[in-house]
Formats: sequence, structure tokens, C-alpha cells
Amino acid sequence: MRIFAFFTSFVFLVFLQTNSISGQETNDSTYHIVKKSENAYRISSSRKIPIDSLKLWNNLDQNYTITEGQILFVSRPETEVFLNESGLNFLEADSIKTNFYSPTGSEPEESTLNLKSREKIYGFYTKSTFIFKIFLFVNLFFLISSIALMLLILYTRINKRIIKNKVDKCLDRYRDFITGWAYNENSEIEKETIFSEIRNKIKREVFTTELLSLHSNLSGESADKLVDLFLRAGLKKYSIKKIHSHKWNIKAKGFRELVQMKIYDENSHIAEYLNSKNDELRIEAQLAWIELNPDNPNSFLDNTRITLTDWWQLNALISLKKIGNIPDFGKWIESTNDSVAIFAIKMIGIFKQFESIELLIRQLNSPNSKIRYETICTLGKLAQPAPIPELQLLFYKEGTENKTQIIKSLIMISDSENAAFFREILLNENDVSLRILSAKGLVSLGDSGLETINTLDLDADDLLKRIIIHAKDSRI
Amino acid sequence: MYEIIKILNFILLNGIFIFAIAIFASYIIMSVLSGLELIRYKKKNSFVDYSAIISSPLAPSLTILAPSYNEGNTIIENIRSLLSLHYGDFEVVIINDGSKDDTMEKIIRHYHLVKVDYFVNYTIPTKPVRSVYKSTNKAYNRLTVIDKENGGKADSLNAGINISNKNYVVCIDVDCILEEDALLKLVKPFLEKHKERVIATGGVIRAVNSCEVKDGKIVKVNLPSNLIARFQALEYNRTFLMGRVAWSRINGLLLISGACGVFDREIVIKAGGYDSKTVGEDMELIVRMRRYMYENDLKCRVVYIPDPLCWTEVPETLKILSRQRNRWTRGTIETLLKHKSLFFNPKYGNLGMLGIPYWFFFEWMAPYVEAIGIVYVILVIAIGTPNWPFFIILMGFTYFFAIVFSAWSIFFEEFSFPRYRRNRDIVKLILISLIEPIVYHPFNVWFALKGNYHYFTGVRSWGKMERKGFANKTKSAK
Repeated sequence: MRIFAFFTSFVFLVFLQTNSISGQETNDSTYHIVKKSENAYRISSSRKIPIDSLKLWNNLDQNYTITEGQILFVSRPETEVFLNESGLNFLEADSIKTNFYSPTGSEPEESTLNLKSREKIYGFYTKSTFIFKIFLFVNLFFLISSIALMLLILYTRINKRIIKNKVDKCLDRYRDFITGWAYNENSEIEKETIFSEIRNKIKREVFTTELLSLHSNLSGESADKLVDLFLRAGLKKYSIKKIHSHKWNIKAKGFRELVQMKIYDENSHIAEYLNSKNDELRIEAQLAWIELNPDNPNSFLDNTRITLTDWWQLNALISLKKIGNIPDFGKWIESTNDSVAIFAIKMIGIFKQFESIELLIRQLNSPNSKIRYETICTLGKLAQPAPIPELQLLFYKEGTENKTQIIKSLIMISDSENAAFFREILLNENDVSLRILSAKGLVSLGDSGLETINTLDLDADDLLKRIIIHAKDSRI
Repeated sequence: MYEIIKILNFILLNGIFIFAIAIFASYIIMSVLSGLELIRYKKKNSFVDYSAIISSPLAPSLTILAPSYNEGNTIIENIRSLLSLHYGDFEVVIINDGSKDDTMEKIIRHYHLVKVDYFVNYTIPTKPVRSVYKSTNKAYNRLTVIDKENGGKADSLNAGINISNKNYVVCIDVDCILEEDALLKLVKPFLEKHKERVIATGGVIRAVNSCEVKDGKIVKVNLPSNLIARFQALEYNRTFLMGRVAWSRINGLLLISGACGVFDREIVIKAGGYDSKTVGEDMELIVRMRRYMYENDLKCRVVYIPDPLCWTEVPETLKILSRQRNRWTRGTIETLLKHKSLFFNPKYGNLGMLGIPYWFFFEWMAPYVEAIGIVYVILVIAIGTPNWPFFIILMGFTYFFAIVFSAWSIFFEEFSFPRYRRNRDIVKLILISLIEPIVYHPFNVWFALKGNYHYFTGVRSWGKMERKGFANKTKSAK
């Protein structure tokens, strides 16, 4: 990013201004400032222009009276053209508004012309100074704001450091206290001091964060003790306050705290956010819902229309593992929401729900290629021989990505039934990576596969030979 | 002469005035956008638990691709640091791009490598791969080393992409230092979006010069002590935090630095892989990937993470800096010309209407404008009569704007992910921002002009020179 590219572009503007208003300077060829002891004739001869033109352009009287310091046009005012055809139309517009009063009331046509050119000059001149004023002001503004920003930077730094020192000071004490609590080692006085200390917001946050992080590393009785500590220290009310905050990130934090401390009181409030439009907040609410409703954790999957992102699925899996009560995912496998179906298919594979295998085989005909892909993966993970014929059949209808996955899944199922299929692909498929995979598949079948591959190797062409060597190398 | 100035005036009044207003406005818009994005990212990160990704069976798999050319002195350390990154399912592929030093021997010896009978499928055409190595030590299971004939950085990365069979490829400079959780942060955006496909992600790159590094990890962050590097530290800060983040927010990002980026392997292959003929392969790839997505009516997104994830050594001498900027300039020109049909083409959405024109006008043309400006100034001083008060006030205007902009970026850094521990580092950074426009910036303009000159005088067979640049550790971290 060329931050200063505009640097020069403004330099341009400088000189555009310069050339147009340099009438202030005497040696310019557009304007002339009348000096002492100069008269109209002298000027007209020195500038090599007819005196009548001078009179016309400058609206002079019959005697060509000029006074010292007066600004005269010494050429046809071209600024007009400049202004009209430039992008700076606002200058002209403004100059029309200027009620210029012509002191010499001469003939109408002439005076219109004069008026116009005078207006131009006058308008442009005042405009220039106006721009000048604006820039002056903007300069000042930038100067002040840069100084302010620099002070702000230093202030945030110092402020952060002060807070950090404060935190560091009490952090160790809190850690000792919390671990002590888990093993009943704290004195009553210590407890009183710390409980009163955490009325301070910063200290309370430190205490809560520390308690939660220690809790996540503990289990069983000592973990329960920490939950007890959380309640006794009165932190629950602050967590609830958090989930009622109007800031979504604070809310989300509150959800996490409630989940970890297993506080079920606020479920109805969490439920309000299960379909929130804010992606992050919705995900957090749904994850909290899973863990706070261990009996029926995925109830909202029934009628959600929102796409479940991979990130959601990843976190939901963790939550499901935590509560340990895994529902039968077969019931969502045919959900109208594709992402719910995909999630269910993935979960069947991970939790090895073999009873859903028939449903999965049916999903191989799904119109959504992503669903088919996940089904193929899951069937591989389940490693049951049942879907082999369907998978082999499907192979010829699929795109490369799903084809690859079918071979991978068949390798995972590892059944000698596949030998002929692998051989077929190894010999007749065009895509080299699929051939390599199927060769690996043959090798993975053990002796019978190796035998097939060795027979092929005897009269193989160069390419096939190299594929076979590659597949046989177990180090890859 | 006066006539010439008048004609110039006329053109410039229209053109330059609009140019100036546009560039001025774009910077203001960008700083606002990146500010909003930083706030959002920070809020989001206040409760996210990245470690969830490490152990999950649902996390995508990664291949880290690190091309190496004559890096014998550091390669062992670099590989170790890559192998120790925090992630679940990943492999590390080191591509030895025909090094002339003992890089290959060193890796083989230290990591107990043996040749394997790898059948390389040249999905993307590359220079021939001599052999592929794996380690006999199970501890280095994740490591694969490709030994190939020299073909440049892009060619090496393509070879790595051919070998990989994971979902995503992480393309990095081998001597970069990645933060331990960099991969987790880079992968998350791929998981989050569902309406559009995320095709690439990148993160903030920062200067590692003068930082204390131990066992491939940053232990203490210091501001570079070298003046040129220090200028770049400020420049990177501004470019990444103000520029890239904003572009990412409006989904117009054209460039993920070659120093560190994650790409969707499927789309990379479909788009045709890196172009080994250009010296700006990192930008060219993103443009081509986006183009591929637009042409196939697929919605896509390139995400930039405002977290400092990758630390790289920046040039400390003008000579190397010149070579680096020269290459960047030529890379930009090559990419823009190769994809000129996208220029103001509404079919390509933000890419055609915003990204490409922006790069054309404000990256490629900007040095020209500046150069013409300087010539013009000299001309006017020689002939005309400059309006000095106005000149000074406008110079002041641009100068102060630049300062405010730099100060904003430092503030963003402080607000989001402060890494400098010492107060005096920040003071120094502020001080350097005051002289940057006068001292450092003109050099950049000069280098860019030189790059243009080299491009148009046909010094294009710079494969050799490019290799040299690569060997000299000039990074592609535009």
C-alpha cells in the first residue's frame, strides 16, 4: 500500500492553484499590477497589446484611468475556460453567486462581459483563499489528531501495564487459593479477604478466568468443589448478568461460564438465541444448549433452518463428547436441512452407530453430492462389508472427488471382495491418482492383493510398473 | 514552455484532482473498515477456544509446503520449528529446489532420510522431481522431502501441491517463524463460512529483525535496530492492519503474501497452480483462483486474519530492499497485465470493479504520478511562480495525513495485538513515522520506477536474478 502516493497528487494541486492566481505577481503574463508612475499606454506597449483591448478587458473609462495597485488583465482571461472545463465546477457556481458590483455603469453588453470576467477573477480569488483556509484548518486538525493519537497510544500502553501489574499481583494468590479450595486447605480469613477483594471488577475477572481454567483441567470431586467455590463466591450472579448484557461477546462469554459451571437456571434465556441472526452468538447459544440439556441435547436440530457450519460441528462434537449422552443420529439423517443431515452422517461415523447403516446406504442416492461424499466417508469409517456393492456401483457415476473417497473407503473396509474392483480401476481408469489409490488398495488387501498386483506387474507398461512400485512402498 | 504547463494544468486539474480525492478517500474508508474488522475480530477472539481444532476428527488436514534454495545454514532448525507447530492432521513437505549448497545432504543426514519409490503425478506441470525422501525415524513421520531440479519458488510450490493429498496447503517461506497457533487461526475461517467458499487465508507478517529467537520460537519482540528494517516494520504494520484487513472485509483481497498463506488445494489445482513465469506468483495465484471461482459462478472469499502469525526477516540494506521492491513491482505489473480483461469488468464483482483498478491506479500508477509530480514541481519553480504559502500548506496537509495514518496503524496494533514490550520501542516507532515520508518513502518510489523500467526494457528473464533474490532472503511479504 503506497500510503504516500497522494503526496504528489496534492503537490499538483498546489501548482494548479499557483498558476491560476499568480496574478498577484507582477511578472505574470495574464495579469498586471499597476505600479507607481505607470499609465495605460505604457502598459499596452510594454505588453504588446492594443490599448482598446486593455480597455475592454478591464472595463476602463474613456481616459484609461488606472490607479496604483490595480490588477489589470493583459490577455484574454483564460481562467474561464479552465474553470468551466475542469472538474472544479463548484468554483464557478460560487462565483456566480457573488454579487459583483461594477462601479462604472457603461453599456450593457460590454459590462456583462466585464462583469463576467471580473466575477471569475474575484470568485476564483476568494475561492482560493477559502480553499487555503480549509486546508489550513485541516492541517491543524491533522496535527492535533496525530498528537492526540500518539498520546492515546502511550496512555493505553501505560494503562495496560498498570492493569497487568495489578493482575499479576493477585493472580498467584488466587491460583493458590483456588487450588487450596479444591483440597480444603484454606483458612477462613483468607477466604473472607479474597471474597471481598473480588467485588472489584478487574480482580473478579481474573479470579473467574483462573477458576474456570483450573476447573477445565480437573474432574470428579475437586472439579465439583470448584463449582461450589464459584457459587459461594457469588460469581453466578455476574455470569447471569453477562448473558443479559447487550454486547454479544459478553453474552457468549456468559454462556461459556454457565456451561462450565453447569448452571441450568438460565436455559430459557439461552433458548432465545438458538436462532439468533448473529452467527457467533447463535453458535455459542446452541453449544451451551447441548451441554445444558443433557437429556435431549440436540432437540433444536429438528427444526433449524440455519446451515450448521463446520466450526459449529467441530465444537458440537466436543460438547457431545463432554456430556456423554449420544443420541441416535439416524433420525436426522434424512433431515431437509442438508447441513443437519451431513452433521448426523459424520456423527454416525465418529460414534460408530452401526444400526444406521441401512439409512446411510440409502443416502448414497442423495441428489446432494456433498451428502453422498460424507456418506461414503462414514461408510468407510464404519468398515462394514454391507455397502460394498453399492459403493462400487456408485463409483462409475461420481466425480473425481467422490471417486477418490470411494476407493479410500473401500480400502478402509478392507474386504477381499474388492480385489477385482481395484484391479479393474488400476487397469482401466484414466486418472493416475485413482490408479495409484487402487493399487494401494490391492496392496492393503494383504497376500491375495499382492498376488494380483504381482501378476499384473509381469506384463505391465512403464507407467503401471511405476505405479505398482509406488503402491508397494510402505514408507509413503 | 508556458503553454506546456497550461496544457498539463488542464489534464492534471481533472485527472489528478480526482486521483488525489480517490486515494485520499480510499485510505480513510480503509482505516474505518479495518477498525471495524479489528473490533469484531477481537470480540470474537475473547471467548474462542482454538485448541478445539487440534484434537478434533472434523478438522481439515494440512500440508505445509516450504520451498528451500541454498538454505543449508538454517534448514535443520527451520524444519524442526515447522514440525513442532500446533495442529492435528498435518504433514510437512520441504522442497529442495536444486540447491547448490549442502541443503539436501544436511537434511538427509539429520533427519535420517531415505529415498522412496514415489510415483509423482504431475497434475500441475513442474520441473522434474529427482526423488522423494521420507525419514526412517518414526518421530519424523510427518516429514517428506522433495528433491527437484531448480525451477523457482512457484515451481517448487507446485511440485509440493502435486505431492500433497490433504485438504489445504500452507505455503510458507522456509525461514519464516510461524506462531505456534498460526495454523489453527488460519484454518478457522475455512470452517466458519458456508454461503461462500473460503479459498485462501493469510495473516499479518511482521519483521523478526532484532527479535530474540530461541528454538525456532520468538521469545522477545523488539523493534528492529536497523533503520531500514525499522521503517519496514512500520510499513508492514500499516499495510497489513490498515490495508489487507479492510480489503478482506469487503472481500476484495488480491494478495496473500507468499511468506505465509493457506490455500484450498482443490481450487488451486483447478485454477492451474502457481504461475512459474511471473515473479509475483503469490498475487497472481489469488487473482487466478478468484477468477476461476467467478467464471464458474461460485462464491468465494479470501480471508485475512489481523493476528500477527508469521515473522520474517526484512531487508536491512538498500541494495536488497531495492531488489525486493523491484520484484514486487514487476510482479504487480505482470499480474495486472495478465488479467487485464478483468479491469472494470462487472462480471468479476469486487475483483474487477475494485481490486484490480485499485492496484492499477494506486499501486502501479502511483509512483508515476509521484515522479511526474516531482518533475512538474521543478519545472514550475524554474519557470513559473509557485504560490509558496499554498505549496507549504498542501505539503503540510499530505504530510500530516500520512502521520495521522501511521499513528492510527500503531494505535490499531496497540489496541489489538500489542507485541512490543518496551515503551521506548513504541516511542521509536512513532518518531520514525515522523520522518518516514521524507526519508524512506522516496526510495520506495525510486525502486518501483526502476522495477517499471526493468519490466518495460524487457529484463524479464529474471529467473536467475529471482533465484538470487530468494537466496538472499528477500521475502515476498508485500
